[in-house]
Amino acid sequence: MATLELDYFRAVSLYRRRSYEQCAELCNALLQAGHDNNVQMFATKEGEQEEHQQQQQQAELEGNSNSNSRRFGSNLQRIGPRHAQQQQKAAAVASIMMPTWLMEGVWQLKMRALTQRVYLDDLEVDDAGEEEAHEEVEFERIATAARPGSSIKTAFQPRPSTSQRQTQRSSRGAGLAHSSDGRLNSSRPGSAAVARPGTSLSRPGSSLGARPASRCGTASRVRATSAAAFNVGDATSKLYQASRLNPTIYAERETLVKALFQFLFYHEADVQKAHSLCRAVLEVQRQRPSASGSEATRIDWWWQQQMGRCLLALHYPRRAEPCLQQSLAAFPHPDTYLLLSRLYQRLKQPERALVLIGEVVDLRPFDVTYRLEQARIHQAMQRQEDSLQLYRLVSRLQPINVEALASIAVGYFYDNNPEMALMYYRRILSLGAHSAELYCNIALCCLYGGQIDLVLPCFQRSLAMSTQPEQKADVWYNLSFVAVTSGDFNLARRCLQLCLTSDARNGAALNNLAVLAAQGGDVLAAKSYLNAAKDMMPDAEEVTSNLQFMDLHYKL
Amino acid sequence: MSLFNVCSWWSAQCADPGEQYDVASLLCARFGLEEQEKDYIIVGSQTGQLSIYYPHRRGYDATDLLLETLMPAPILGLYAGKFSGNVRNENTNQLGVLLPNAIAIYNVQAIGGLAEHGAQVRLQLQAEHKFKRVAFGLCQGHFGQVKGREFFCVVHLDGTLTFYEQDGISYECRFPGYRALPAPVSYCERTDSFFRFSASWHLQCYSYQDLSHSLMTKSSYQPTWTQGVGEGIVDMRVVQVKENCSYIMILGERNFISLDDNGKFIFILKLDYAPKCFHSFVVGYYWEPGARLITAIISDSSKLHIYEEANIIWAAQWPNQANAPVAIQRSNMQGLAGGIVTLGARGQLEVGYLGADPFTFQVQPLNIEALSFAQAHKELQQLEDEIKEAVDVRDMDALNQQAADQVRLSFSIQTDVSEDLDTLLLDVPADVAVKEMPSAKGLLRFKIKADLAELQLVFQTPNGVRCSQDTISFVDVVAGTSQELKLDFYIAELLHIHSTKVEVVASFVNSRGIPRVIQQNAHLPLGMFYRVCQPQKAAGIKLTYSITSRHVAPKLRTFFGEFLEGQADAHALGLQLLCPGLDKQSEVITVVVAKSSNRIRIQSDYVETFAMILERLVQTTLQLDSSAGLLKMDKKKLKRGVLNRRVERLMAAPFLPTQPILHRVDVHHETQQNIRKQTEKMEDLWQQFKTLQRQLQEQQEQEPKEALTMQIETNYDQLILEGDKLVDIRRDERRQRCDLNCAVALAKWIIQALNLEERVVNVVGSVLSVPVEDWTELSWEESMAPGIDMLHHFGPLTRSKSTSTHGLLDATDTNKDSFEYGRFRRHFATLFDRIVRLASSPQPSAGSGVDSSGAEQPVEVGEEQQPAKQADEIGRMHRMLGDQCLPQAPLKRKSNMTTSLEAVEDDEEYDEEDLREDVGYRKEYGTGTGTGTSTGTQKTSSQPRSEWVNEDFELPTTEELFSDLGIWW
Repeated sequence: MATLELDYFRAVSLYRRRSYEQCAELCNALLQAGHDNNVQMFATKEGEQEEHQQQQQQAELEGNSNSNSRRFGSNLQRIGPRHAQQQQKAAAVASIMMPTWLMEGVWQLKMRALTQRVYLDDLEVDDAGEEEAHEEVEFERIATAARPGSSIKTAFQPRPSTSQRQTQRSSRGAGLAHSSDGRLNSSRPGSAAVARPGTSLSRPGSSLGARPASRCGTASRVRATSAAAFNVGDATSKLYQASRLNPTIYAERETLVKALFQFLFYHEADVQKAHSLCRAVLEVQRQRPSASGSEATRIDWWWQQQMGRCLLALHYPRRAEPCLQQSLAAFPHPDTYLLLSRLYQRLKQPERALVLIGEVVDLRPFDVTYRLEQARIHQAMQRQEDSLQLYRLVSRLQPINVEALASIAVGYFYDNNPEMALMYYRRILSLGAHSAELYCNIALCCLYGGQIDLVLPCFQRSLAMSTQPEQKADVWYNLSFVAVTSGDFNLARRCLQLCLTSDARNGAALNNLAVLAAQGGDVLAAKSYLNAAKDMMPDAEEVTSNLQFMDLHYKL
Repeated sequence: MSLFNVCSWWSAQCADPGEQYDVASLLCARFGLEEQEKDYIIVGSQTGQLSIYYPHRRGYDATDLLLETLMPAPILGLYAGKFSGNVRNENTNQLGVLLPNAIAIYNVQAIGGLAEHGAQVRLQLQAEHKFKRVAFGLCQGHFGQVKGREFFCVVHLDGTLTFYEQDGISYECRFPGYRALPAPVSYCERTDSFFRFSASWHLQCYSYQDLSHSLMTKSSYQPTWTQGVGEGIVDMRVVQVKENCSYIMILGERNFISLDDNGKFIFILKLDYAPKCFHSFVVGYYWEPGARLITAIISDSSKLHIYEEANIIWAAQWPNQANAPVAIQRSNMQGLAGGIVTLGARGQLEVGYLGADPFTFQVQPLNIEALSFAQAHKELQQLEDEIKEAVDVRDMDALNQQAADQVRLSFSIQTDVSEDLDTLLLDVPADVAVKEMPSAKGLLRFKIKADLAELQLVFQTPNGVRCSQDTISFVDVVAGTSQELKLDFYIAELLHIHSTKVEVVASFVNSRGIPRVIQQNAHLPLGMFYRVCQPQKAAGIKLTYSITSRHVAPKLRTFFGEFLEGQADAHALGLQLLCPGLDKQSEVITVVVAKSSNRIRIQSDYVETFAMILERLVQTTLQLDSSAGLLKMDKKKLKRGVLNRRVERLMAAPFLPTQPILHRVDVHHETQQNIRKQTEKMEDLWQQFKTLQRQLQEQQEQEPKEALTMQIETNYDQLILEGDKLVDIRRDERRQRCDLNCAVALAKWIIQALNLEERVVNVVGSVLSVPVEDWTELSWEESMAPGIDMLHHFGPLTRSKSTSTHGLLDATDTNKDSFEYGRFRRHFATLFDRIVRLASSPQPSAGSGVDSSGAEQPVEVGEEQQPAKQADEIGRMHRMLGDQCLPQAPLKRKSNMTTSLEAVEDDEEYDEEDLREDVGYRKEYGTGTGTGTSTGTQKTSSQPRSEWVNEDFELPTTEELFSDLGIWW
């Protein structure tokens, strides 16, 4: 018993110092031990259990106080050190059995650790696929209900489709990092380079400004795959099967339900389930008799906020709005502001988002979070000047904010001022946030700024640092521009082929290869490259116009 | 502000270098041992190592370590305070060491150092309070606002609190509400209350009065106030900032939150990094104006952020970017006021200060040597290889060879069956387990020669047979790994099994992300599926094979040795199929070997019994023959007209049990139709279901719902009922598909050994592929129809060239999207008929390739063919054979028509002439082109004309097809 509890302490300690994987491992061992001893979890209702506990304690106390009454007279409340004999007996009993509370605690702790391990702030990530069909979502929900037992994660994870990858917002500038911290970056393998500055070339095959931020679609998917991979070979994973979970049962368990929600939302990426849990909890709260009577006091702002979050993630912005508004009325949490702002942007009402953020900015003028949000909204509205102004303000308030610095740099770059952009990039570099994308951008700035001697070393470094195939593809793609600039089309072709080696679905590279092939006289190859590019990026202007050009000028 | 360095002033490594430290392991405190005292740094590890440091000057000195001792139990926390009442000096503090089951209070005593040995301290145990529950943390303070002494309470893992007032008085109590994960509890002296983080992520405030009286009165009590924090917390601290106000500083998992002691939020700051630990303190004195509340937060990437209230004022980075510290304190040292004391997870203790030394990120040198030409060339070559490897797939053989080198597989299945299968462990369904089917054991060895990112092994077994492991995946396999897998193969479903072949497919992605697939086969022992029984005299289906190979003895022993114990020279063998093992019928197959000749007869009443036996027969013959090494079946380019080379080893009598096979197809097709109908029915109900659900959703709260609910229930019941029906039909379908598998496999094995042109055999073999697949959109029949149709119209199996073109036109008109089962069935039947007829046509002493090519010629060459009636097809065949001797092509030429290219070309010319005279369709299509070009096209197009199937037995491209027909394009 004592060793079990000590292990539990160690697990909590590991959790405290953010060693989540070790913590989860330790929890596994504990859960296994509990499982072997048939410890029942969540068998009793929460209230009863507490009562039971208290009775037990009471009995214990009384037992003790009897023996202690001689020492302390009539003061029943005070108990002295226990008798050794009693202690031994208790220990002997306890060593066989793992108490239920411990098992439940370990279970919850592991759930929290798993959640934290893959936690990515959903407000920091733009999930693509905004125009997902509603019908599909509905179908998924019913399908989930019809097949209990099967893992939702594997069965109903929508496959990344090309159309989903398209609707990424154009150069956010700091896809590189929204945080000034390295950790979030590393856990976001898919985030793409700082907007690719290739469009300054005015040839038909120049690069495309917008590229999907992450290869496999959405951040939640990255999370889910990472989470799923971590679960492989975990014997206790069946204790965490979200598909078997009945929201209405858990909705009453206040102890767990918030952690459970986050587990579903962030770890399992099962928004549907999280949403139904939310609904169940809100229902419970609504029905709860309350002394004060008014509904607002009974309902937790937190759940309203999560409800809004779920609905937003499920693409029901209109239904999310009242939830978030109510939550905001009850408590001004920064997340609620940001969620509402996202919501208005999704409803194509950025002005309203600006008004909302403006209100909170008036209250907290120095909070960088809101300023950044303002800047992002302006950027989304194509008001580059205003947004740059705000980014500059942010970088004054918090000079180590990488997002602001990167956005300013991108602004300069597209303003045909690569030297200034270079300065900002070097500043980011000096902040220690060095990544393949950053070196790639520095190299491009050097290329267009005329510092030719630095171009290739930077690219070399970038190549050496890139770990993901997508990153490699990006670097090779950008290297092809060096080749094009220097007129070596053969080298450019090779670079693009290497780009395709890493990422065969790179439409921009296919398009440029087509142009190079056409330039080399191989019209048939060009045509087929263009068709491939068209498959990858059906909406891209360059590809369509190139295809039209081909149809006009070449008889095929 | 920029990003600066945290400058190191003093650092030490604590005794235990393991990951044994957390936020409670560090304490900076004074003990009141001397005048002008500065802070001691006390560190306790979770292995029980306790160290006390007293830094004297910049840089670590051996005399800075005052004490190092090992506690009997892990140290969970360290605390200093006035824990004992009977001490004279009122500045004296005691050291509290929290162990799992006790708290020990020590007096710290200084021992003056002699000479240069430096001073020491000694710990004197003052009191030890034991408790049963394991502790989590400790909360100390002047509870009840007593002056001069401090009380403390131990927070246990299970959420109970044990209060220790002095003089051994202690009592236990709990906070009301549900048990939470262990979290720190804080005490605020100003309001004499405790702050606790509850299970529902609220911050709750309890007054000490309530807590201490709760046990006395047994009354339940409520928190003074509650505030939702909305996230888990990392740490919590109470700081008094003003005379009349304390702040509760909370480091949440994502936000930094501050409340005042009345529960009013001061600020919530969203952190854009992952915080790890923090320390809040007041610069100046809280009772004076101008006191500043400063907070230092350490992020997970070793950055120190200093905030004044919620505004960042400084950011600094640990220079070596090591792991972030787990604990931070601020303390005053000798020679350094306000030093930042941090402790790493592995016991790196460091005292630093915020110098204006800008953090310069040192880019590690890339150490690029001067470019040597050879090296650059090599690198370039490497990159070219990469391009070639990933993008270029022209040389498939080399690629496959390379893949096989990278992952070496060896897969074998033991030939003897075993009976001791653990049916429970392998989850065999009860109806199969009851029959106690034999099982087989296999072994897979693999050795990996190159680093792989992913490796997946998949075992493909025939339907009904299962392997104890179906898919195994590995991630990040290093080169040199080798492994042996023991496998069990067992029957898991009572179905007819069409093949004993088990395939293992290894698909892998190498470190550069290039995928490759290799595969290997092995055969299951027949003993798994048959048992010996009495041979049958007569049967419905009789097949005859003659073994023509000289290397294979036409004895039963050669083929079915495992069934012939003791009676090695038996001539007849009866085998009964174990597998569906229905009570009503025993499916027996009998193999009889002719005593004098080399013939083998196989007979049975059931089509399903044949497949595996024939497989064994054909495979064994070919294998024995090729191991004798006479003829190689290598896959070189086949000339047209080459006779099936398998015939030189064994030959089947030209007979196909068409009717039973077609019957299986019929049954299968019917079930398919039923499924389709059933699905449509389900679809309707489903649509209804959705509409009803939507109606329910749209209905107003107060409207009555009974009618709708009833409708929904009926609809739902119906849905379930129909669904069950569908499941049943699906099960039937699965069984029938397996029967069909057996039937198709039977046909395939017979055709394999028929005396036909080898290309015909291969083409038909590839069209009749097993196992049969059904897709939701396309049943097997539909997917087969084009292939059969094509065989019907083109190639050597057509009736004649001239009709074939019209056939094609018909086909393209009608067969485009309508599938007609009757037509398919007819074609299927005629296909078999033709094969049989072709194979049974008299052969001019099959033996040499020359003769046989001559024999096949007339079929290939589209002679003018009168619309022969179905009835006298045989006669037609003879006529065609006779045509061969028509004077158009001199006989002499025919006889020396060897396999040389010239001869074949000559032959083609003769063909074209013939065709040109024949029908006028060319003019219709070829009018646009001049005559000159037409002959040119003709010449070129006639070359691939014969290649209506290319050598990989793929379907011909349209180009090939059209040229085959002599149509210009």
